[in-house]
Amino acid sequence: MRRRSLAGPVLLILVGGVFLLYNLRPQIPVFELFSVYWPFLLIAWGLLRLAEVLVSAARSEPQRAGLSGGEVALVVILCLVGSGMFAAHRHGFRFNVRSLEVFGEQYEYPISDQKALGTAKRIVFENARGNLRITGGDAPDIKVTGRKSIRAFSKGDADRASQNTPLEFIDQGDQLLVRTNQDRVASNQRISEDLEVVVPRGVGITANASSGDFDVSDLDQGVEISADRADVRLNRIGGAVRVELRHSDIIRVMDVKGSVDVQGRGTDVDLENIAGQVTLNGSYGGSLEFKNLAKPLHFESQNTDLRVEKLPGEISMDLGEFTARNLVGPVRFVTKSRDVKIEDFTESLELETERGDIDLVPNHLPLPRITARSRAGRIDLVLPDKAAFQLEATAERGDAMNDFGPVLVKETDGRSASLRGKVGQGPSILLVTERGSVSVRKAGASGGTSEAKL
Amino acid sequence: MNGNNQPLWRAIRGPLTLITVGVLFAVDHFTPYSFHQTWPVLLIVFGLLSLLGRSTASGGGV
Repeated sequence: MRRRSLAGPVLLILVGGVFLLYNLRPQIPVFELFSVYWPFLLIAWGLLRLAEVLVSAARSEPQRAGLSGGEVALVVILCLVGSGMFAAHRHGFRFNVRSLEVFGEQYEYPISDQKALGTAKRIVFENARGNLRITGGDAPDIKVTGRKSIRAFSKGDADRASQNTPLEFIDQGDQLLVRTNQDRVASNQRISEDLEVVVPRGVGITANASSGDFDVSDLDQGVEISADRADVRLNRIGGAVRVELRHSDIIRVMDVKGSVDVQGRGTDVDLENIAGQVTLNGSYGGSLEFKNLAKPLHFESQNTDLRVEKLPGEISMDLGEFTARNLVGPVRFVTKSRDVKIEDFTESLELETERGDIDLVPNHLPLPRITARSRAGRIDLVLPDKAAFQLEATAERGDAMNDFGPVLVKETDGRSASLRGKVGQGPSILLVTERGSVSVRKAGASGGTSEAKL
Repeated sequence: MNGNNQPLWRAIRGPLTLITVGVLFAVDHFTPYSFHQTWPVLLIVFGLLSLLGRSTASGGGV
């Protein structure tokens, strides 16, 4: 009777076990282990067959060929796959990075280099992962210091990866390319470089990255940054600023003489003391702060459109609230659901909110032209005592309140109420709320609303 | 030991080859000697195996 070999079932159990282990305990680098230790599988297999043959010989059972044709084919496949995986492993490819995070170790290498700028007017940084701090200085050279961190299973792996990724300066005539060559190691190797760079202050900067934080300050020329995921802090920039990000936690730009153009999505944005035009595109889930902008501001996201001619004061907004003080119009603000509070504004205001209360305090005379609409929410307008205007205020389902007395005529019709009237010769004010009350109050007459209801 | 001797040598040739290949790959992975350098060992093992088979065959006088 010919017994079938044990090798087949044992192999099946092994393969099943390996995949099960990979699924249940992903931190164990089974494929890494396989790619290195697979020759011992061959040895074990050979020993198993040898034992079988000897045992059956000792029992004087009939012999058969040591290896069947199927087994030979399997062995060849195993050798090919195994050597392929080992070659990949040796060249830095990692089969599962998850295990690298758990079992790998961090190796660090210092970076220090210097290069004369030559004729370049712009420096282009390409550092895929890692933080970049650029400061403008008075020296004519570009000076780079920092460290490279590599996560690997062994020092040898890390050394190899480090050798493959030298910091390079490439002179391209009018621009100098500084790159860290992280793309030369396999994409799933964890390598990142934190660089501190001092550049001549008269040079322009372009930086491209996939992730890392940027901190750029004291430059006379423009700065361009594009990254997948980055926080950006810019200070004292003489030229135009352009930032393009897929995701950011914070973008802070301060003291810029040129225009500022920010595209992307993220959390917080903080822009202050900008002499040029400001354009902000994208959705931001955190708080946005604008302060002291000398030229027009335009912010556009999926649900929001904000245009201000000039902002000597400040605007602060998040997903639920918009507060602004000291704006130069024309101002236009369209939003979905925010409470809006605007104080001190000139020229004209066009405001539309889907859901939210509106508080307007123009403060300045002559009054700006105002159009404010809310789908659901009250509108509260506080006007200076001597204001001249032409009012048309409608609360389609709500009450209308008035401090100015009989010059404004109140009409009620079912559930809707409106105020109409003219005080002196002034700009038109149109307030419409579909659900909520409308009130027009005099500044300084706080608390007078209730008595002046009619 | 009778007529089974001859097939026994033939039978263990396969497993022994397998073990040799495994050892060579392990040597390739864990020592500075690479498979490109050590492959003649396979020929030597083949030679030795057939030599052993022949010597047992002739030694058996069959």
